[in-house]
Amino acid sequence: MKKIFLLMLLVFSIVITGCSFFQGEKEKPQPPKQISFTIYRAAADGSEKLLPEKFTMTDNGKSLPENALLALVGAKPQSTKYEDVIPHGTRVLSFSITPEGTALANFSKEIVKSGQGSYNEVMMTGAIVNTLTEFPEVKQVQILVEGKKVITLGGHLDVEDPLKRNESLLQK
Amino acid sequence: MRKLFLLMLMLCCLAFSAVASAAQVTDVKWGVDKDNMLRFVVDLTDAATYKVDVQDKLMTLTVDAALKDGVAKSSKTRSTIASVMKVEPAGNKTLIKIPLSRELKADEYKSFTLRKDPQTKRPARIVLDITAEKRIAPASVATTNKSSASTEKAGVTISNKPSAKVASDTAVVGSKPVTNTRKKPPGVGTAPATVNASVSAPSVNLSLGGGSSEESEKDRKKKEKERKKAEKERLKKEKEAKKKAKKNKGKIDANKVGYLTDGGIEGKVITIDPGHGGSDPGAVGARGTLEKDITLEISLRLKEELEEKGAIVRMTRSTDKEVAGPGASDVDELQARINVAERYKSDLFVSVHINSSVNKKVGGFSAYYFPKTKFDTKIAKSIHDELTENFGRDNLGLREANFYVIKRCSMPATLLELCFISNKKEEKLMRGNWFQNKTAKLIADGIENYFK
Repeated sequence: MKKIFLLMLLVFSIVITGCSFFQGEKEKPQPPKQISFTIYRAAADGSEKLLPEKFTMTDNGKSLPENALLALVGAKPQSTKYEDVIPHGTRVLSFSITPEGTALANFSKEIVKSGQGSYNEVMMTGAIVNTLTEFPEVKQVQILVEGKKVITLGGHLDVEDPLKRNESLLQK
Repeated sequence: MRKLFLLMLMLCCLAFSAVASAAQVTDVKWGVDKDNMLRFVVDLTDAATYKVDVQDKLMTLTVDAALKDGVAKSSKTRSTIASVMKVEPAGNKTLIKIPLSRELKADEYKSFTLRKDPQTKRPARIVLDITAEKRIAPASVATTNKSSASTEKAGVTISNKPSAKVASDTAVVGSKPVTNTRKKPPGVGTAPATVNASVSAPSVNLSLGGGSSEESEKDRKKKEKERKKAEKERLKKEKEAKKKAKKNKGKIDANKVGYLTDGGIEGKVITIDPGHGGSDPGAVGARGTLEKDITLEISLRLKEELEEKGAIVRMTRSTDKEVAGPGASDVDELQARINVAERYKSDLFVSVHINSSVNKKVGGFSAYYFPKTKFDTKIAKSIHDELTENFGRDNLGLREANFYVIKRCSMPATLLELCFISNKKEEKLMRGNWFQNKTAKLIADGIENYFK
């Protein structure tokens, strides 16, 4: 009886470990790793403030700042309290961070759009810069258009030099 | 061998730098604006001296810089005053010859230089404007802006308030032709002697009023009375002189360095920049309201309010036009506005804009600063407080932003966004006199508080 019990225990344990071994090999990459971060969007209520939006997505191997920028530019706001201020059709062409902490955010030419008020320009650059400087590795942001520095995106703001975080746009 | 090579290299470098240091003319351009003013712009590798001669019907601009190869030697212009210009090298100089359709008077042209701007990568330039055939600004603008047409072109606006006593003094300044802005702005150093004289004269009279030891008591009392009367008169005259001086202060100190931030608004130089203009309407409202029109209206009213307080006001534009001239790039246009503020050594730069958003609900005032000095925040707050308090709004619109015009000028500056043209209610409001007058007055009050 004791022997049978031990044998059964042995078989059972083999089955269990076998199973788990088998499972582990096939399903370990299956539970997708989720990453989350904060992006800043303009408030839709007209308060001229940037509001934080929590964004969660599956890890795609890209850095958090790059994913945050892609989400800001490419994803629709998740609530009506946010407003999308990035011109339609704008794409992120490339993204990198220099060892000194300058994020190089390279956009397609759609981001250059004049003939609108400064409100959009302020909110747009503010959203980009504050979203990226949320990460400690980004100290400042250099906006590029098709790989080149431009002086202004909409005829008001000077974006030729790297931009620093703008706390005055955040909701206190 | 290696030493020889190094030596040669050094010599080459020296030779090259010697050549490079001598200015060269790299381009000569021309343009006619919509008011028919003909402008020539000479691009230079470095600042160079120049002179303008007019003999009969030939105008010659002599630039002390050699002509670089590849610059067009001749070009036709579209102006009615000159149909062609020729560029000729003359040793180390370059001659730009412009045959004219008629003789020019001294106040029908002007010239000035622009410094090299490493930030916008624009070269040193010499600018020659022929304003002879310029059309006069429309009457509606002329009535709100009383400065003479000739000074207007240079962006110079000088107070010409109708006052019998000072009319002759201001007239001299106002009618002075703007010919040599590269040396000093018009009106500099022409302080009227009459002010000083009227202040010192009564004090001389007073010293004659002293009593002698042989006088009787009665006489002394009489003299005392007279002296008191003279004193009273002197104070009155002093006050008047002060008032007169206040009205006469249309001049900017030529030796001024930097900007002033306190001591009262009187005599401070303030450049007002009405946003957009000319071919650039700025934002457009649902009823067809153009940002450029509202900014100009409010700015002209603001100018009057500030001049009443004793400030010297310069405008980047006082008509519906581009500041850099037609066809200029966004950046050139922005830089041209700063150039006006720098040229007049302004103590303050105020850019007036109307906001717009795709979100039609957005409304209200914002005042922007770029914290290059501690005074930038101060002026923005001072004006913003005045506006929001009196319009019964919250004061959350005080914000930092890197606007080109407030970031790249050397003096404290603020950019005001006076409500939203995209907001139906506000668009209607901003078209009216009440709003335009009230905002102008409140901004002026805010500026006055800042200089206190």
